[in-house]
Amino acid sequence: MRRLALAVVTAFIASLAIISTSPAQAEEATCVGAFVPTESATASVSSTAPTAPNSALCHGTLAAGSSTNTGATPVGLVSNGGGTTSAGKKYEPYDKVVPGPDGTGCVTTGYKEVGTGRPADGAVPIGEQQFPNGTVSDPTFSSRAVDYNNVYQDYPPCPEQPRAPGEPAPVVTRAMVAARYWEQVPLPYPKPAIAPGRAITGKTAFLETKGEITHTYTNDTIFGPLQIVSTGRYYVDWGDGKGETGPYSVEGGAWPDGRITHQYTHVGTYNIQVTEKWVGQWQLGGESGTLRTLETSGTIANFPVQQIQAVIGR
Amino acid sequence: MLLLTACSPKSTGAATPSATVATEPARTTTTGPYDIPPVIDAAYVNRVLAGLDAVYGDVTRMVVSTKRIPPEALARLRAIYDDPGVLQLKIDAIQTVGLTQLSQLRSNPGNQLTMIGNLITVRPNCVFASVTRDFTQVVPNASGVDHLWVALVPLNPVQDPNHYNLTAWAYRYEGFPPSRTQPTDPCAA
Repeated sequence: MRRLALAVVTAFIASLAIISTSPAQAEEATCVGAFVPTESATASVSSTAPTAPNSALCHGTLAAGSSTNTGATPVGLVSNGGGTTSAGKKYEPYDKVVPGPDGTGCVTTGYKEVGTGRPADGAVPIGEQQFPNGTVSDPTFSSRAVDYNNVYQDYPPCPEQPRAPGEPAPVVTRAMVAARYWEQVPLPYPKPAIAPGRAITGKTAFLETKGEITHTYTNDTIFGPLQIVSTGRYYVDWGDGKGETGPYSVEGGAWPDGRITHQYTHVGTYNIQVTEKWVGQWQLGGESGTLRTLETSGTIANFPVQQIQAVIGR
Repeated sequence: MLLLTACSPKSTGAATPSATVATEPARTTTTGPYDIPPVIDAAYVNRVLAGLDAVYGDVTRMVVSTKRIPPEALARLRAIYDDPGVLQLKIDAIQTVGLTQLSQLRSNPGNQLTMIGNLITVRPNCVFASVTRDFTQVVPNASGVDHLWVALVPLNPVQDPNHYNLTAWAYRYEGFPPSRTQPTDPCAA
């Protein structure tokens, strides 16, 4: 009997503990706004933008000053004073910007609520993930609706994380598939030359780039054939301290028709650097986008610039 | 009365500090506006907040002009948010909420104006305060202000290699709980 009473008291105390800790846990959530007020003034402002009825975003589990950035931070909840649970909601993947370890950004897969655009609060169960064709087992997904800011124009995809045996592959978007391929394609690089291997001060030197200014890549992917059309622009540092010239959207050719030219003023040897900046336009499964600029380069080392002097013979 | 006014600390408007503590005696003459003074008061914290508002204003203008979060904006966010979780939350807020708000902003937005409401904890290495935030220069016809809390800690230079943040401080916390009650003091740890 005494044991039973003790058990009842213990259970009662435990229940009190649960009750008493709930508010504290709720207080650990943090909300922030972006650009507009999150309080009462928001109502009138946001009434003009029905797609964004709430102006703040809350992190469901953030303890102030103690969180860590894993690149998959559970972020979510709606704002304006209250949280919501994820029950009954559907989430779709989106391309989420995270600061990489070195401070530069990269893109990973995040989840946001279908219809609201708000990130999910923590990990999204498979049953709440929305995929095309009504299947939840498809590890791939993409939607035009989520591609509202084309983050791959600015950031590379984050490095793939190692997975434990049996762990399902992370969800990817078409843009992510394109971006990952873009990061590994062997882009053409310039092989510059200036005939006849030297230049004369005051005379025009014609730089031959000997590269490509467009190249199309294709690859079979889980979404179907991927096509990336890359376009290059040349920039030339002539090595004489006069700064970089460019962009040139044409191949540099030899005398007399070449269009990438320069005149040196002083005799010397110069290191000429030709940089080609590549922009990629991808198409995959009816979607398309722009990829971040990549660079290739070529150099002419110790390029001699000489002088012609008139000599009057006697 | 005139003498009293002349000798009083510079008015800071809404600032009503409730706590100030002495820091270590200054060893050198402080000349910069953000040099940590012997006594951290509301006027100084307001100056720091204005500096942080200026950096975030640059972020806002970049996002407005590009309709994206360019790397230059990300670098500035990293320069003013010390905590990785808070930084990520801010990025998420801009990416998922902020980018849908652009039509509500001025075409060339100014800076938000964050002002001390109440200094709660003041230490040489951590300041926790309630603040108000005015969006008049960001959003046309904005009325009222936001009430939130901030915790400032000394800026880690690694976070800001390009020196975007001229203040010596960065946000360890910025925001409010869903209940809009005072959050746990990050400076208490």
